[in-house]
Amino acid sequence: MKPAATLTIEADVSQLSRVRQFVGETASSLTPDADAIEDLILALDEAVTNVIVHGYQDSPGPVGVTMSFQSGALIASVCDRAPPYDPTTTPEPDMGLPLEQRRPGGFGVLLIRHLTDEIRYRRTPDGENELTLIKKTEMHHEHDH
Amino acid sequence: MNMTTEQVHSPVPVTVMKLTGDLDASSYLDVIAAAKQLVQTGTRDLLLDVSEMKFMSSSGLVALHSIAMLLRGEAPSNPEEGWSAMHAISREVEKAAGFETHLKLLNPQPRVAKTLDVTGFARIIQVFTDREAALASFTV
Repeated sequence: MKPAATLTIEADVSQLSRVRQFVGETASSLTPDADAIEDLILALDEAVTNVIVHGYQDSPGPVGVTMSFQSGALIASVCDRAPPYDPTTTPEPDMGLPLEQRRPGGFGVLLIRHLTDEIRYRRTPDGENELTLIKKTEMHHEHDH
Repeated sequence: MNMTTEQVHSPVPVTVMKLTGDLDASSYLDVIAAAKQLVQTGTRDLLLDVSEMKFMSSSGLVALHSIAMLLRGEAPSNPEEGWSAMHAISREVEKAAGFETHLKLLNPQPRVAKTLDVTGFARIIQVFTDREAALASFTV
């Protein structure tokens, strides 16, 4: 496992570009898979936006983003002290179903699911939300998927 | 996010709005506000040139949906309402019988095009790679 890097920001949408830059630069030092990196940048932006807007509801608080690389996959965790919220249980909006049979869902969570291979949520013993996004990478990246 | 606009007649009056930079949760309200001002000052047809837009999150989808509604003369969903705004957009995507007639997109970068595709927006907002063809597609 390559060593982790962490960025902590204040919960404010003005900080999102810093998050994207951090994820892009750190991921680039861990893998040459540019597609995987771009997918993770958008997924992390969506996850952190959810924490700021829906978690903290625009009140102040810290958001930590930790990046590492393990078993060929980029791993990014988002930690916050907002009220408990588990996006992994948000029903996926099924675009094939009539509206009446669908539950509300956000495009942000849809994108996170589409762009990553696995998402995990836990409430830590310290009372934080921890959302982990896992993105597998290609060693030899030659084609679009 | 930087925004510039120009007016073109081809054959109907079209406002071309060029978005440069990143369209995320920090900038989407500014884009909606700019479009609202355009509509209030007479814009009926809008071509969004996104060729220099390097990043777009789902906040950008909310902006596109709100702008389409403004151009239709409808009040947009309040983007601050979060899930319910998203639900309203899902409903629009679901019932869409064709492309929006007053809002079109020019030259999204591959990453942005992928987001439009995955979320179903590519089915409701027509995407062009040729500016002249995009302008000519607007009708009275």
